[in-house]
Amino acid sequence: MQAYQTILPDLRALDATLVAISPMLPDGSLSMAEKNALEYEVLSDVGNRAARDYGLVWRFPPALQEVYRTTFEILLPQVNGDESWELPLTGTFVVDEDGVVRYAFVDPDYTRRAEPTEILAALRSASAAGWPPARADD
Amino acid sequence: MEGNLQRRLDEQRERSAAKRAPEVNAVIAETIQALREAGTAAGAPSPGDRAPGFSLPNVQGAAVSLGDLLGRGPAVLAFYRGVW
Repeated sequence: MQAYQTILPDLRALDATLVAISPMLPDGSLSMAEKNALEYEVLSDVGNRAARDYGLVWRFPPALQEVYRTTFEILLPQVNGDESWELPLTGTFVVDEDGVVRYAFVDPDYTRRAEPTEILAALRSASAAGWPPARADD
Repeated sequence: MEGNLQRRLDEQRERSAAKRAPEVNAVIAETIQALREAGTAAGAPSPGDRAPGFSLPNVQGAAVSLGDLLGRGPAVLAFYRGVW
């Protein structure tokens, strides 16, 4: 998520808001936000309710649960507050002011992310095509 | 910085993988492959679709809805698994 901090000034110039959504309990999100001094909203989607509506939820297969328990010593039930071992796929969506998706990036590989340049391009295109038109000083 | 995020993430992934046991890397790779084959990402909204609404607490505990966000302008929603 820190990677998107570099485009925050560009997002502000486009009147766009960046929000990060994860199934972590708010306490966990808070320490992360404080630690990194992130300048965007971090929302807690406990139980992956929103992620489910966005078609992103998947469940850890038993072999991966075992790796997390024994090798990484990360217990998702503690971090996320439920026993589901469910997570969202990494997904980035640009939504215009009418609530229409303008850009979607979803990948089962958790190390893949939408390129910041593509996010900005989608926002600029939405703002050019949308109503009201861009301000004269833009 | 712009435009090369994925390259940096790829390098990071290689470094992380090098520190893990081969069996662990195999389980991770199998999981990603299974998700691809199952078409898990196909259910996500595409450009032109209406974005599903939500109302979720922020770190201060205040509810933030998609409608609230769109009242300020376009929104960039970044779903991620969390930071452990």
